[in-house]
Amino acid sequence: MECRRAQNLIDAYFDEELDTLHAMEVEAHVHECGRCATMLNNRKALRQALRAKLPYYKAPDLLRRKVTGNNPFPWRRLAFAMAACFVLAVGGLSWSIMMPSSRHIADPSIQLADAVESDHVRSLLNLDHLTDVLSSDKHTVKPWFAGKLPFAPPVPDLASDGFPLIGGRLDVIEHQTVAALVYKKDKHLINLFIWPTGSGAAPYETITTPRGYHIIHWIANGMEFWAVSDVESKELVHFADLQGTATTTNH
Amino acid sequence: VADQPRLFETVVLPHLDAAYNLARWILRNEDNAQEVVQESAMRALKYHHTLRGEDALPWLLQIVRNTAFTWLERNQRNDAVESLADDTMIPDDSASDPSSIVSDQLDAESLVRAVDGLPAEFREVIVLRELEGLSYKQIAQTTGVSIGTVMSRISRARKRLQIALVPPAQQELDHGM
Repeated sequence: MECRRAQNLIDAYFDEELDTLHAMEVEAHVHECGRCATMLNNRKALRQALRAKLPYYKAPDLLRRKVTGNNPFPWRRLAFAMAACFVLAVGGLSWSIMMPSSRHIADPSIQLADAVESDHVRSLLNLDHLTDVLSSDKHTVKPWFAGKLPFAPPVPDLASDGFPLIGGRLDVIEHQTVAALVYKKDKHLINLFIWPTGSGAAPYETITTPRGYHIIHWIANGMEFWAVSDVESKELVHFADLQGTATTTNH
Repeated sequence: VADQPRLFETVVLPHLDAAYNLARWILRNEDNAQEVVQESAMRALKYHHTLRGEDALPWLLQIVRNTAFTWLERNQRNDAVESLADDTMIPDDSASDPSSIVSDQLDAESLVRAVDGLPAEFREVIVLRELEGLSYKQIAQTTGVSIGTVMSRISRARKRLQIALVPPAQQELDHGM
């Protein structure tokens, strides 16, 4: 690699934004070229100085009060604070939304997986919207969807298999209203998103997102199923198997 | 779709410091930054339906930076986009030996002066990258430019900072320092 090329890439390398192949090339070059090594060291020194000494201007109290005063929904504050504490206690999941994902997503099914994952994370962070109908009884949850969706999502009872039902809610994924069922596995929550689709069947497809969530997608009986959770991948596969079996026997 | 009350509690309030810090660095003025953040909070509520399946922080910061740039344009934009193209002041790295920067020798005051001396579009990428720790993708979402442009802005901003903080050896010789 030439100096010029290495220097063009050195910031992306330093910020860990380069793919492995290019990163290795830059690394190899810096190893051999004193001038480019100095450049890289300068980047490090600059960052160190900026992060340690450049002021981070925090919002002044007056501004915080003004903005909070504009909050048209003050009564929600307490409920939210309690919900946030509960989420932190339950999963420690909130860190994951702070982890920047540098992967560039172009594939439409990956994009959908991304949307499913985001919905899952958001549902955990907003416990007031984790469930619209809070019930472990499928005979309560299933009819609840009836008046609200143009399709009837299957709601199997998997409590005896270690996946108790928590409830259900309506959600929107890629501009489509979908059914979201919430199950629990030990201390982990599983969101199962369901909506009707044109095609008849598709086998399991498993995805692990950069944030570490597992997603399983399948199509059965003309419906899309997306299960997402931070449980171990084999547990989620087990969950999907149970769902698949239950769905087939139900129809 | 995130409803308004939830958006306020989950997006606006937790990220108020980030919003203010960005506005403060873009505008270089406390009062104006407060004004812009207040306006941004209102706009965030108004456009809450546009937050979908993406990180909330870049979404909010995008509103803040757009509001701040509109403010700059309306009022006192003297470090406009034009200056972005003007890198003639910066010697090609390959043409001069870069001096070594020692972070301990840089004081807060000169760092602030160096960052404040950058064009607004460079200030914002430095703040987003070094103070917020956002990825290139998130910075691209925030600033509404491509990841490639983010990469080049960050690179040029750092070169400028470096030169402002530690003049290159070549210049030291030229000026007999």
